[in-house]
Amino acid sequence: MTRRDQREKHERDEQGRERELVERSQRGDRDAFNRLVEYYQAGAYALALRMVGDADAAADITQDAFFSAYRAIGSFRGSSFRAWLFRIVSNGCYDHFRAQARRPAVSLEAALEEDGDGDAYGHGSDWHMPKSLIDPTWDPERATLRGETIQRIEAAMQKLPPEQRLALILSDIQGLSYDEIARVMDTSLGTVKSRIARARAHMRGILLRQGEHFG
Amino acid sequence: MSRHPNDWEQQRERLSAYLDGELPPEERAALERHLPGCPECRRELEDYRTLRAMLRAVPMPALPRSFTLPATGAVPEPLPAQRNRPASARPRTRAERSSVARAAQALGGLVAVAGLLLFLTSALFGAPSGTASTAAGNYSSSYQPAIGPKSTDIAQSTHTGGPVGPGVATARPNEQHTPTGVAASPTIGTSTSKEPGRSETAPPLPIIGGGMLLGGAALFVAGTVARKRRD
Repeated sequence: MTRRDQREKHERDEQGRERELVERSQRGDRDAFNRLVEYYQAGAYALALRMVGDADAAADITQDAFFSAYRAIGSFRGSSFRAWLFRIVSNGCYDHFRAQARRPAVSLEAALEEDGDGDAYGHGSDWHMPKSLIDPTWDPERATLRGETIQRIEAAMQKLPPEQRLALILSDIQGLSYDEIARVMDTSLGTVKSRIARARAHMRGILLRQGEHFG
Repeated sequence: MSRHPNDWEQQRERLSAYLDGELPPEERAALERHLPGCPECRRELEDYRTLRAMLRAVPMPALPRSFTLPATGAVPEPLPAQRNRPASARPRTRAERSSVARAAQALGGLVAVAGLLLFLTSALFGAPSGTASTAAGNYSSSYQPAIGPKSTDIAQSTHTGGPVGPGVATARPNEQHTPTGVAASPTIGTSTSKEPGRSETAPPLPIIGGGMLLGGAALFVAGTVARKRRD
Protein backbone atom coordinates (compact mmCIF):
# COMPACT_ATOMS: atom_id res chain seq x y z
CA MET A 1 0.00 0.00 0.00
CA THR A 2 1.48 3.38 -0.94
CA ARG A 3 1.79 6.10 1.63
CA ARG A 4 -1.00 8.03 0.01
CA ASP A 5 -3.23 4.97 0.08
CA GLN A 6 -2.39 4.52 3.72
CA ARG A 7 -3.29 8.12 4.47
CA GLU A 8 -6.57 7.86 2.62
CA LYS A 9 -7.42 4.62 4.38
CA HIS A 10 -6.62 6.24 7.71
CA GLU A 11 -8.92 9.15 6.89
CA ARG A 12 -11.71 6.80 5.88
CA ASP A 13 -11.31 4.83 9.11
CA GLU A 14 -11.41 8.06 11.11
CA GLN A 15 -14.55 9.15 9.32
CA GLY A 16 -16.13 5.78 9.96
CA ARG A 17 -15.31 5.95 13.66
CA GLU A 18 -16.68 9.46 13.87
CA ARG A 19 -19.88 8.46 12.09
CA GLU A 20 -20.35 5.68 14.60
CA LEU A 21 -19.85 8.05 17.54
CA VAL A 22 -22.34 10.49 16.04
CA GLU A 23 -24.93 7.75 15.56
CA ARG A 24 -24.48 6.53 19.11
CA SER A 25 -24.78 10.11 20.37
CA GLN A 26 -28.00 10.48 18.43
CA ARG A 27 -29.32 7.47 20.33
CA GLY A 28 -28.55 9.23 23.61
CA ASP A 29 -25.13 7.72 24.32
CA ARG A 30 -23.51 10.51 26.26
CA ASP A 31 -20.16 8.71 26.51
CA ALA A 32 -19.97 8.54 22.74
CA PHE A 33 -20.72 12.25 22.53
CA ASN A 34 -18.00 12.97 25.07
CA ARG A 35 -15.51 11.16 22.88
CA LEU A 36 -16.40 13.65 20.16
CA VAL A 37 -15.99 16.46 22.67
CA GLU A 38 -12.54 15.22 23.64
CA TYR A 39 -11.54 15.09 20.02
CA TYR A 40 -12.79 18.52 18.99
CA GLN A 41 -12.63 20.61 22.13
CA ALA A 42 -9.13 21.97 21.53
CA GLY A 43 -10.06 23.17 18.06
CA ALA A 44 -13.39 24.55 19.20
CA TYR A 45 -11.81 26.47 22.08
CA ALA A 46 -9.02 27.79 19.86
CA LEU A 47 -11.58 29.00 17.35
CA ALA A 48 -13.59 30.81 20.01
CA LEU A 49 -10.50 32.32 21.61
CA ARG A 50 -9.07 33.61 18.34
CA MET A 51 -12.45 35.07 17.47
CA VAL A 52 -13.37 36.86 20.67
CA GLY A 53 -9.91 37.42 22.17
CA ASP A 54 -11.06 36.72 25.72
CA ALA A 55 -10.32 33.43 27.48
CA ASP A 56 -13.32 33.44 29.82
CA ALA A 57 -15.78 34.32 27.09
CA ALA A 58 -14.20 31.71 24.82
CA ALA A 59 -14.62 29.04 27.50
CA ASP A 60 -18.29 29.93 27.97
CA ILE A 61 -18.90 29.94 24.24
CA THR A 62 -17.19 26.55 23.87
CA GLN A 63 -19.15 24.98 26.71
CA ASP A 64 -22.42 26.36 25.38
CA ALA A 65 -21.57 25.08 21.91
CA PHE A 66 -21.12 21.53 23.17
CA PHE A 67 -24.34 21.72 25.16
CA SER A 68 -26.16 22.99 22.08
CA ALA A 69 -24.57 20.35 19.90
CA TYR A 70 -25.63 17.58 22.25
CA ARG A 71 -29.20 18.83 22.43
CA ALA A 72 -29.38 19.25 18.67
CA ILE A 73 -27.43 16.20 17.55
CA GLY A 74 -30.63 14.47 16.50
CA SER A 75 -30.91 16.92 13.65
CA PHE A 76 -27.31 16.58 12.41
CA ARG A 77 -27.45 15.17 8.90
CA GLY A 78 -24.30 16.36 7.17
CA SER A 79 -21.03 14.62 6.57
CA SER A 80 -18.76 16.92 8.55
CA PHE A 81 -19.34 17.02 12.26
CA ARG A 82 -16.50 19.47 12.57
CA ALA A 83 -18.10 21.97 10.18
CA TRP A 84 -21.41 21.65 12.03
CA LEU A 85 -19.78 22.10 15.43
CA PHE A 86 -17.66 25.05 14.30
CA ARG A 87 -20.80 26.67 12.94
CA ILE A 88 -22.34 26.46 16.39
CA VAL A 89 -19.17 27.90 17.95
CA SER A 90 -19.01 30.79 15.48
CA ASN A 91 -22.70 31.57 16.06
CA GLY A 92 -21.84 31.77 19.75
CA CYS A 93 -19.05 34.20 18.92
CA TYR A 94 -21.42 36.41 16.92
CA ASP A 95 -23.88 36.38 19.82
CA HIS A 96 -21.02 37.55 22.02
CA PHE A 97 -20.23 40.42 19.62
CA ARG A 98 -23.87 41.48 19.54
CA ALA A 99 -24.02 41.49 23.32
CA GLN A 100 -20.87 43.59 23.41
CA ALA A 101 -22.23 45.99 20.82
CA ARG A 102 -25.01 46.78 23.24
CA ARG A 103 -22.51 48.53 25.41
CA PRO A 104 -22.53 52.27 24.63
CA ALA A 105 -18.89 52.51 23.61
CA VAL A 106 -19.16 50.12 20.70
CA SER A 107 -21.64 50.42 17.86
CA LEU A 108 -22.96 47.33 16.16
CA GLU A 109 -21.80 48.69 12.84
CA ALA A 110 -18.26 49.04 14.08
CA ALA A 111 -18.31 45.58 15.59
CA LEU A 112 -19.57 43.96 12.42
CA GLU A 113 -17.75 46.11 9.94
CA GLU A 114 -17.32 44.17 6.76
CA ASP A 115 -15.22 46.41 4.59
CA GLY A 116 -11.90 47.98 5.36
CA ASP A 117 -8.79 46.25 4.17
CA GLY A 118 -6.36 48.53 5.95
CA ASP A 119 -4.09 47.82 3.06
CA ALA A 120 -2.11 51.02 3.25
CA TYR A 121 0.61 49.72 1.03
CA GLY A 122 -1.28 48.64 -2.04
CA HIS A 123 0.47 46.88 -4.79
CA GLY A 124 3.21 47.77 -7.15
CA SER A 125 5.12 49.54 -4.40
CA ASP A 126 8.35 48.43 -2.85
CA TRP A 127 6.70 47.62 0.40
CA HIS A 128 6.23 44.04 1.25
CA MET A 129 6.44 41.99 4.37
CA PRO A 130 9.96 40.85 5.01
CA LYS A 131 10.09 38.21 7.70
CA SER A 132 12.73 40.18 9.55
CA LEU A 133 10.35 43.07 10.10
CA ILE A 134 8.04 40.85 12.03
CA ASP A 135 10.52 38.69 13.84
CA PRO A 136 14.22 38.79 13.06
CA THR A 137 14.82 35.44 14.68
CA TRP A 138 12.01 33.66 12.93
CA ASP A 139 13.06 30.58 11.10
CA PRO A 140 10.30 29.15 8.95
CA GLU A 141 12.09 25.84 8.92
CA ARG A 142 11.75 25.51 12.65
CA ALA A 143 8.41 27.29 12.59
CA THR A 144 8.49 28.61 16.12
CA LEU A 145 7.61 32.18 16.96
CA ARG A 146 8.66 34.51 19.71
CA GLY A 147 6.04 35.31 22.31
CA GLU A 148 6.02 38.95 21.26
CA THR A 149 5.34 38.02 17.66
CA ILE A 150 2.50 35.76 18.69
CA GLN A 151 0.98 38.61 20.67
CA ARG A 152 1.25 40.94 17.72
CA ILE A 153 -0.39 38.43 15.42
CA GLU A 154 -3.19 37.85 17.92
CA ALA A 155 -3.70 41.59 18.39
CA ALA A 156 -3.74 42.14 14.63
CA MET A 157 -6.35 39.40 14.28
CA GLN A 158 -8.62 41.24 16.68
CA LYS A 159 -8.59 44.23 14.39
CA LEU A 160 -10.05 42.31 11.47
CA PRO A 161 -13.80 42.49 10.83
CA PRO A 162 -15.38 39.33 12.28
CA GLU A 163 -16.19 37.75 8.91
CA GLN A 164 -12.61 38.11 7.69
CA ARG A 165 -11.25 36.97 11.02
CA LEU A 166 -13.39 33.84 11.02
CA ALA A 167 -12.47 32.94 7.44
CA LEU A 168 -8.76 33.36 8.16
CA ILE A 169 -8.89 31.37 11.40
CA LEU A 170 -10.74 28.50 9.75
CA SER A 171 -8.33 28.46 6.82
CA ASP A 172 -4.91 29.14 8.29
CA ILE A 173 -5.29 28.01 11.89
CA GLN A 174 -7.84 25.24 11.68
CA GLY A 175 -6.79 24.06 8.22
CA LEU A 176 -10.26 23.68 6.76
CA SER A 177 -10.81 23.53 3.02
CA TYR A 178 -12.71 26.37 1.34
CA ASP A 179 -15.59 23.98 0.88
CA GLU A 180 -15.80 23.23 4.57
CA ILE A 181 -15.37 26.90 5.45
CA ALA A 182 -18.31 27.71 3.18
CA ARG A 183 -20.40 25.24 5.19
CA VAL A 184 -19.31 26.66 8.53
CA MET A 185 -20.02 30.23 7.41
CA ASP A 186 -23.12 29.26 5.43
CA THR A 187 -21.96 31.15 2.38
CA SER A 188 -20.60 30.60 -1.12
CA LEU A 189 -17.13 29.50 -2.16
CA GLY A 190 -16.62 32.86 -3.88
CA THR A 191 -17.36 34.74 -0.66
CA VAL A 192 -14.97 32.50 1.27
CA LYS A 193 -12.21 33.12 -1.27
CA SER A 194 -12.82 36.86 -1.13
CA ARG A 195 -12.87 37.04 2.67
CA ILE A 196 -9.64 35.08 3.04
CA ALA A 197 -7.86 37.22 0.46
CA ARG A 198 -9.03 40.42 2.09
CA ALA A 199 -8.14 39.12 5.52
CA ARG A 200 -4.60 38.38 4.40
CA ALA A 201 -4.16 41.81 2.80
CA HIS A 202 -5.61 43.41 5.89
CA MET A 203 -3.40 41.48 8.32
CA ARG A 204 -0.35 42.33 6.31
CA GLY A 205 -1.25 46.01 6.42
CA ILE A 206 -1.75 45.96 10.18
CA LEU A 207 1.50 44.11 10.87
CA LEU A 208 3.47 46.38 8.58
CA ARG A 209 2.11 49.49 10.26
CA GLN A 210 3.01 48.06 13.66
CA GLY A 211 6.47 47.22 12.40
CA GLU A 212 6.96 50.77 11.31
CA HIS A 213 5.75 51.98 14.67
CA PHE A 214 8.37 49.98 16.48
CA GLY A 215 10.99 51.28 14.06
CA MET B 1 3.96 50.51 -13.16
CA SER B 2 1.44 47.89 -12.18
CA ARG B 3 0.55 45.11 -14.55
CA HIS B 4 -2.84 44.91 -12.87
CA PRO B 5 -4.33 48.38 -12.78
CA ASN B 6 -7.94 47.27 -13.06
CA ASP B 7 -8.24 43.83 -11.62
CA TRP B 8 -5.97 43.80 -8.60
CA GLU B 9 -8.78 42.71 -6.30
CA GLN B 10 -9.47 39.65 -8.42
CA GLN B 11 -5.78 38.96 -8.91
CA ARG B 12 -5.25 39.05 -5.16
CA GLU B 13 -8.03 36.53 -4.71
CA ARG B 14 -6.49 34.28 -7.33
CA LEU B 15 -3.10 34.45 -5.63
CA SER B 16 -4.63 33.73 -2.23
CA ALA B 17 -6.66 30.79 -3.54
CA TYR B 18 -3.61 29.52 -5.43
CA LEU B 19 -1.67 29.44 -2.19
CA ASP B 20 -4.38 27.26 -0.65
CA GLY B 21 -4.56 24.97 -3.66
CA GLU B 22 -8.11 26.07 -4.30
CA LEU B 23 -7.81 27.40 -7.85
CA PRO B 24 -9.44 25.36 -10.61
CA PRO B 25 -6.88 23.69 -12.90
CA GLU B 26 -7.18 26.11 -15.82
CA GLU B 27 -6.81 29.19 -13.60
CA ARG B 28 -3.88 27.59 -11.80
CA ALA B 29 -2.13 26.90 -15.09
CA ALA B 30 -2.76 30.46 -16.28
CA LEU B 31 -1.39 31.92 -13.06
CA GLU B 32 1.70 29.73 -13.17
CA ARG B 33 2.39 31.01 -16.67
CA HIS B 34 1.92 34.59 -15.44
CA LEU B 35 4.07 34.52 -12.30
CA PRO B 36 7.58 34.30 -13.76
CA GLY B 37 7.04 37.63 -15.54
CA CYS B 38 5.29 39.50 -12.73
CA PRO B 39 7.36 40.52 -9.66
CA GLU B 40 4.35 42.26 -8.18
CA CYS B 41 2.35 39.06 -8.03
CA ARG B 42 5.32 37.03 -6.84
CA ARG B 43 5.87 39.46 -3.96
CA GLU B 44 2.19 39.38 -2.99
CA LEU B 45 2.17 35.60 -3.06
CA GLU B 46 5.31 35.46 -0.95
CA ASP B 47 3.76 37.77 1.64
CA TYR B 48 0.66 35.60 1.87
CA ARG B 49 2.85 32.53 2.17
CA THR B 50 4.81 34.12 5.03
CA LEU B 51 1.67 35.22 6.81
CA ARG B 52 0.07 31.80 6.50
CA ALA B 53 3.20 30.11 7.82
CA MET B 54 3.21 32.43 10.82
CA LEU B 55 -0.45 31.80 11.58
CA ARG B 56 0.15 28.08 11.39
CA ALA B 57 3.06 28.50 13.78
CA VAL B 58 0.95 30.19 16.45
CA PRO B 59 0.60 27.49 19.11
CA MET B 60 -2.79 26.11 20.03
CA PRO B 61 -3.98 27.67 23.28
CA ALA B 62 -4.00 25.40 26.32
CA LEU B 63 -7.43 24.12 27.24
CA PRO B 64 -8.59 25.86 30.42
CA ARG B 65 -10.60 22.76 31.39
CA SER B 66 -12.38 19.79 29.87
CA PHE B 67 -15.66 20.59 28.14
CA THR B 68 -17.10 17.08 28.33
CA LEU B 69 -20.68 16.79 29.49
CA PRO B 70 -21.41 15.54 32.99
CA ALA B 71 -22.04 11.80 32.97
CA THR B 72 -25.55 12.08 34.33
CA GLY B 73 -28.16 14.70 34.87
CA ALA B 74 -29.79 17.13 32.53
CA VAL B 75 -27.51 19.12 30.29
CA PRO B 76 -28.04 22.76 31.12
CA GLU B 77 -29.33 24.86 28.31
CA PRO B 78 -26.95 27.47 27.07
CA LEU B 79 -27.78 30.97 28.28
CA PRO B 80 -28.65 33.47 25.59
CA ALA B 81 -25.95 36.14 25.24
CA GLN B 82 -28.45 38.87 26.08
CA ARG B 83 -32.08 38.99 27.06
CA ASN B 84 -33.34 41.45 24.45
CA ARG B 85 -32.36 40.31 21.00
CA PRO B 86 -32.37 42.74 18.10
CA ALA B 87 -34.63 42.02 15.16
CA SER B 88 -31.65 41.15 13.02
CA ALA B 89 -30.43 38.43 15.37
CA ARG B 90 -30.69 34.84 14.33
CA PRO B 91 -33.92 33.09 15.22
CA ARG B 92 -34.27 31.78 18.74
CA THR B 93 -33.34 28.17 19.08
CA ARG B 94 -35.51 25.60 20.71
CA ALA B 95 -33.27 25.81 23.73
CA GLU B 96 -33.90 29.52 24.08
CA ARG B 97 -37.66 29.27 23.71
CA SER B 98 -37.91 26.51 26.28
CA SER B 99 -36.01 28.64 28.80
CA VAL B 100 -39.23 30.68 29.16
CA ALA B 101 -41.12 27.50 29.93
CA ARG B 102 -38.46 26.57 32.44
CA ALA B 103 -38.78 29.99 34.10
CA ALA B 104 -42.52 29.45 34.38
CA GLN B 105 -41.88 26.12 36.03
CA ALA B 106 -39.40 27.60 38.48
CA LEU B 107 -41.65 30.53 39.38
CA GLY B 108 -44.71 28.37 39.69
CA GLY B 109 -42.87 25.96 41.94
CA LEU B 110 -41.62 28.70 44.24
CA VAL B 111 -45.02 30.36 44.54
CA ALA B 112 -46.70 27.04 45.21
CA VAL B 113 -44.22 26.16 47.94
CA ALA B 114 -44.58 29.59 49.53
CA GLY B 115 -48.32 29.28 49.41
CA LEU B 116 -48.22 25.84 50.98
CA LEU B 117 -46.02 27.06 53.80
CA LEU B 118 -48.26 30.04 54.42
CA PHE B 119 -51.34 27.86 54.38
CA LEU B 120 -49.88 25.41 56.85
CA THR B 121 -48.47 28.10 59.13
CA SER B 122 -51.68 30.02 59.31
CA ALA B 123 -53.82 26.93 59.66
CA LEU B 124 -51.70 25.43 62.44
CA PHE B 125 -50.80 28.52 64.40
CA GLY B 126 -53.68 30.82 63.64
CA ALA B 127 -53.36 34.13 61.80
CA PRO B 128 -50.23 35.90 63.05
CA SER B 129 -49.66 39.64 62.70
CA GLY B 130 -49.61 41.19 59.34
CA THR B 131 -45.94 40.32 58.97
CA ALA B 132 -46.57 37.01 57.23
CA SER B 133 -49.04 38.52 54.84
CA THR B 134 -46.65 41.30 54.04
CA ALA B 135 -43.95 38.78 53.41
CA ALA B 136 -46.36 36.89 51.24
CA GLY B 137 -47.34 40.06 49.48
CA ASN B 138 -43.76 40.97 48.79
CA TYR B 139 -42.94 37.43 47.87
CA SER B 140 -45.78 37.01 45.45
CA SER B 141 -45.25 40.28 43.71
CA SER B 142 -41.51 39.72 43.60
CA TYR B 143 -41.74 36.25 42.19
CA GLN B 144 -44.46 36.65 39.66
CA PRO B 145 -43.32 39.30 37.24
CA ALA B 146 -43.51 36.86 34.35
CA ILE B 147 -47.26 36.89 34.48
CA GLY B 148 -47.43 40.62 34.46
CA PRO B 149 -49.44 43.12 36.40
CA LYS B 150 -51.92 40.43 37.23
CA SER B 151 -49.55 39.22 39.94
CA THR B 152 -49.65 42.52 41.69
CA ASP B 153 -53.42 42.43 41.42
CA ILE B 154 -53.46 39.04 43.03
CA ALA B 155 -51.36 40.35 45.87
CA GLN B 156 -53.55 43.41 46.21
CA SER B 157 -56.77 41.53 46.02
CA THR B 158 -55.68 39.22 48.76
CA HIS B 159 -55.25 42.24 50.94
CA THR B 160 -58.11 44.44 49.91
CA GLY B 161 -60.56 42.13 48.16
CA GLY B 162 -61.23 39.80 51.03
CA PRO B 163 -62.57 40.57 54.46
CA VAL B 164 -59.77 42.84 55.51
CA GLY B 165 -59.96 45.97 57.51
CA PRO B 166 -58.89 49.44 56.60
CA GLY B 167 -55.63 48.93 58.40
CA VAL B 168 -54.29 46.94 55.51
CA ALA B 169 -55.19 49.52 52.91
CA THR B 170 -53.45 52.27 54.79
CA ALA B 171 -50.44 50.13 55.41
CA ARG B 172 -50.00 49.28 51.74
CA PRO B 173 -47.80 52.21 50.81
CA ASN B 174 -45.20 50.96 53.23
CA GLU B 175 -44.93 47.64 51.56
CA GLN B 176 -42.04 47.31 49.24
CA HIS B 177 -43.20 45.59 46.14
CA THR B 178 -40.24 45.03 43.92
CA PRO B 179 -41.35 43.10 40.87
CA THR B 180 -37.88 42.37 39.69
CA GLY B 181 -37.89 38.60 39.73
CA VAL B 182 -36.03 36.10 41.82
CA ALA B 183 -33.31 38.45 42.91
CA ALA B 184 -35.86 40.36 44.95
CA SER B 185 -35.84 37.77 47.70
CA PRO B 186 -34.04 40.09 50.11
CA THR B 187 -37.20 42.11 50.26
CA ILE B 188 -38.86 39.37 52.21
CA GLY B 189 -39.17 40.56 55.74
CA THR B 190 -37.69 43.99 55.14
CA SER B 191 -40.86 45.99 55.33
CA THR B 192 -42.66 43.88 57.82
CA SER B 193 -41.47 45.32 61.09
CA LYS B 194 -42.36 48.84 60.12
CA GLU B 195 -46.10 48.46 60.14
CA PRO B 196 -47.35 48.51 63.70
CA GLY B 197 -50.92 48.96 62.65
CA ARG B 198 -51.14 45.70 60.82
CA SER B 199 -51.38 43.38 63.76
CA GLU B 200 -54.89 44.56 64.40
CA THR B 201 -56.17 43.20 61.11
CA ALA B 202 -56.48 39.52 60.26
CA PRO B 203 -56.48 38.88 56.52
CA PRO B 204 -57.48 35.36 55.57
CA LEU B 205 -54.01 33.88 55.41
CA PRO B 206 -55.13 30.33 54.67
CA ILE B 207 -56.97 31.69 51.66
CA ILE B 208 -53.91 33.61 50.50
CA GLY B 209 -51.78 30.54 50.98
CA GLY B 210 -54.24 28.33 49.21
CA GLY B 211 -54.49 30.76 46.33
CA MET B 212 -50.74 30.90 45.95
CA LEU B 213 -50.52 27.15 46.09
CA LEU B 214 -53.08 26.72 43.35
CA GLY B 215 -51.71 29.56 41.24
CA GLY B 216 -48.14 28.34 41.59
CA ALA B 217 -49.12 24.78 40.79
CA ALA B 218 -50.97 25.92 37.68
CA LEU B 219 -47.93 27.89 36.51
CA PHE B 220 -45.67 24.94 37.16
CA VAL B 221 -47.91 22.61 35.19
CA ALA B 222 -48.10 25.09 32.31
CA GLY B 223 -44.32 25.30 32.19
CA THR B 224 -43.94 21.54 32.31
CA VAL B 225 -46.44 21.01 29.49
CA ALA B 226 -44.70 23.66 27.38
CA ARG B 227 -41.33 22.02 27.92
CA LYS B 228 -42.62 18.55 27.15
CA ARG B 229 -44.09 19.79 23.91
CA ARG B 230 -40.83 21.31 22.80
CA ASP B 231 -38.54 18.44 23.68
